[in-house]
Amino acid sequence: MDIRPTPEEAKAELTLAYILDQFKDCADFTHRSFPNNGASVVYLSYLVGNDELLREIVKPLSGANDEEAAALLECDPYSATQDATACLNGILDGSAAIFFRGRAWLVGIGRPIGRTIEQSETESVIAGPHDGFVEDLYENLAVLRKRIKSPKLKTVFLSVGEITRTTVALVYLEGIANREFLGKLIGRIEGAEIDGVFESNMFIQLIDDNPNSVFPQYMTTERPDSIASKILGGRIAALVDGSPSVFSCPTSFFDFFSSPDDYYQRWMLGTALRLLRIIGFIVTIGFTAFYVSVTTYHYEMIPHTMLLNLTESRSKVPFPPLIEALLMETTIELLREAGARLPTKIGQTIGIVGGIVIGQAAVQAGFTSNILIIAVATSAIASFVIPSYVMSASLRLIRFGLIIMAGVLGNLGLFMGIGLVVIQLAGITNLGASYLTPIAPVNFRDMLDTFIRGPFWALTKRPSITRTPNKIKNKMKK
Amino acid sequence: MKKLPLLLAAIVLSGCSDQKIIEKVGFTRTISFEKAEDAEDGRIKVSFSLPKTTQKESIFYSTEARSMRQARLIFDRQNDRRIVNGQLRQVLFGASLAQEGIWKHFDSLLRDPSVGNRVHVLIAEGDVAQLLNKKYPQGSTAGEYIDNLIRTETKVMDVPDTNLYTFARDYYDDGIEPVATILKETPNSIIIDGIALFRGDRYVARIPPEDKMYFGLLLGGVRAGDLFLDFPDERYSSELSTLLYFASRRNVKVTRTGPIMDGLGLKVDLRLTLRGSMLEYNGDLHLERPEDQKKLEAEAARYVQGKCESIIATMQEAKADGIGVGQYVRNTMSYREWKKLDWPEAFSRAKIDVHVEISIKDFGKIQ
Repeated sequence: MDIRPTPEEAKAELTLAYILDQFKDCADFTHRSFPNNGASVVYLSYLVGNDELLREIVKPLSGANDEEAAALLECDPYSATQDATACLNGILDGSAAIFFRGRAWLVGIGRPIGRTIEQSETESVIAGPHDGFVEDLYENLAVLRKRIKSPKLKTVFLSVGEITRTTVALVYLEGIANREFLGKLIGRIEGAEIDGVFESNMFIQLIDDNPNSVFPQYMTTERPDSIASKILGGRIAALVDGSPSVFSCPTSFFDFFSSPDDYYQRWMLGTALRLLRIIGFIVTIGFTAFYVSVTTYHYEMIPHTMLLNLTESRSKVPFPPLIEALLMETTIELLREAGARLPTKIGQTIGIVGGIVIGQAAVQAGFTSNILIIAVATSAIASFVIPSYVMSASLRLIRFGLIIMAGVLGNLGLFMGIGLVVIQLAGITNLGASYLTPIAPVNFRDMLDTFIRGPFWALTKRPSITRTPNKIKNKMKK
Repeated sequence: MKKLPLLLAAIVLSGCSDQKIIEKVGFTRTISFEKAEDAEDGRIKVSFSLPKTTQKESIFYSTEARSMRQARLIFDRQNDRRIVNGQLRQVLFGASLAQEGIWKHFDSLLRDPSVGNRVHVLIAEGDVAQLLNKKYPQGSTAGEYIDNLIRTETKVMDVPDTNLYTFARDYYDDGIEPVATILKETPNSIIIDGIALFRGDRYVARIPPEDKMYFGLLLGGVRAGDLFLDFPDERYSSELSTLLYFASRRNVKVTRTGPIMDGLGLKVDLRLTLRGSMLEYNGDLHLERPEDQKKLEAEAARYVQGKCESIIATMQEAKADGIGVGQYVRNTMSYREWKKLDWPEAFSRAKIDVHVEISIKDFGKIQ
């Protein structure tokens, strides 16, 4: 059913009767009359705040006579409207509509709904700001405004979802963000035709360049400090109402491997952490696959003291290494998924049952070899050092593909698989910017802030991927 | 997208014939070749030693065959796991077989792509099969014992690390001949019993184990050697001293004093520089005095020089240029001239002088 306003509806005359007709059968819709001056007020009762209602409507109108009411409505919080659709949308956004002498006014008396600002569950840091974005868009905007106190911080409001009419706010710095990217992004968002949007991680799939790729193409985060630094770097941030994740673009693959606390540590430590995450990336996609490949085809590559232990341990296992590895990887994914679904208190039990009982017993029962348990556990742990949950989930999926390739063709297959991943990565663009920046196109200055976290005196320019018109960000001399 | 099933089929159906799942293969650690007792039609005795997964024991197969591959086929018929060569650590040649030439067998190892280049090439004296099949108090299997022994000994560079790569390189290269470490079985150990000098692929002479360090010096570049100087007679003022932790450098200078064809017009100066600490001393010198220190250095140099010259005499007698003097000689002449030169013959007649310079950094902590 098409629920967009038909041309007749769009042309409908704004009358109280029309509004009442539109909201009929809505039990939370309230119609209130003031007999002393003949004004009628309508609103959705659970969207508005009691205090606001009292202050803006009940108190001023209940004591006012005809003339006073007319004068009052010409003043500021009350905005006159003639458009029926605008009036409907206003009511849905938490405003009250006042009908008086055949004319209509809107007044915003909505109350914020949702939790207060608290720490993000998925992206926690040890040192650094502990606030996270929440579901309410305006709260999130306020958090950003508090961080970047500049009138150059511009916002664009767009609406997506034809039924849900979810607000999406684009935030950027004028003179620093690239207008071309901004235009492209607005075009994409306006082109999204869907009935509803609930989450930014869902929304970005509607507007990305490569919908069939396994990799997330917009960087999402729940951390305001991260988004603030992205905006300063020349990126455009987008907030989706109802979602605590904020996305920024253009994004490169390596953005998913940096975390704001890299910058809060000394640069050498930050560099070490970056390198650790790169190692984590390699381990998480390749370690189990390498085990499969080596035990199936390339016994020459195993140090001989380990080889004998491994053979001893493998000799009780009835399956070939490929099946063995797939079984264990599936088990650990089951554990992880179960842990994510369960309440925190039961989640710990799962950890004990999974980690100790299954791990120990599987080896003793001759179900798997103990080196495989190490490989599987290491790659599972390594997948969690990647700060972005969405990226780490993608990498875990790739791992299965590589295991199969390694089990079928050995190291040749493993490297063919890695080659395919690289081809895929090289083909992805985000708003037309290359996903593999700064490797392709190569930019050594950007690498200072990609694979390592260079000292601040070396980070003088904004990242090239943003194509910012204002390149210098740090004028300090060493 | 239509090509995807095709691609998948190409990957998945491409066969798994090359699978060598580790618990289904037996890894050869040591291969030995020696002369068969009653050798008929060129048969030799080939033995394979495969460690068991318990690491304390090994499986030992021995047979008479014409080549390694033939022997492996025989062993494959008996072994419950497929025998593979990819974890080979050392190959042992019996001394008497080595005297007849080993290239035939060596070549089959070089051709096998699964055999690594760093497989130790060793010469064994006595009954090789028995040496390999024995239990030693050093713990693990003979194969691992030899592997570890060679690794630790070659670390200090006094025993050249002779592996497949260096052996084949020196065999093919002009102006140098291969060498190999000699092993010998004692009642409760395996001992390094000198260095075998080859001419071509034939074992022709042996450097005794006491002199292996001097051979290392001549070969050049000892990094952390350990030299024991047992001054023999009255001409020296000390009884014995040990130069510990020394490093050495070699410098070769070739001068031509006449026609080279018979090797007589060739003068080679080997300059050895040793620098290290002396930590053991028995003798009458007062080492706290600088002039006595100089005297000791000079005497030690004289002693080392004598030893080196006797090793060179051994090599010249055997016409085996194991230290690569020929490479320096080759550099002084055109290739055509070199091709005409019978180097082993010229080497045996060349005049090779050794100059040794020893500087002792410190004389131990009591000074």
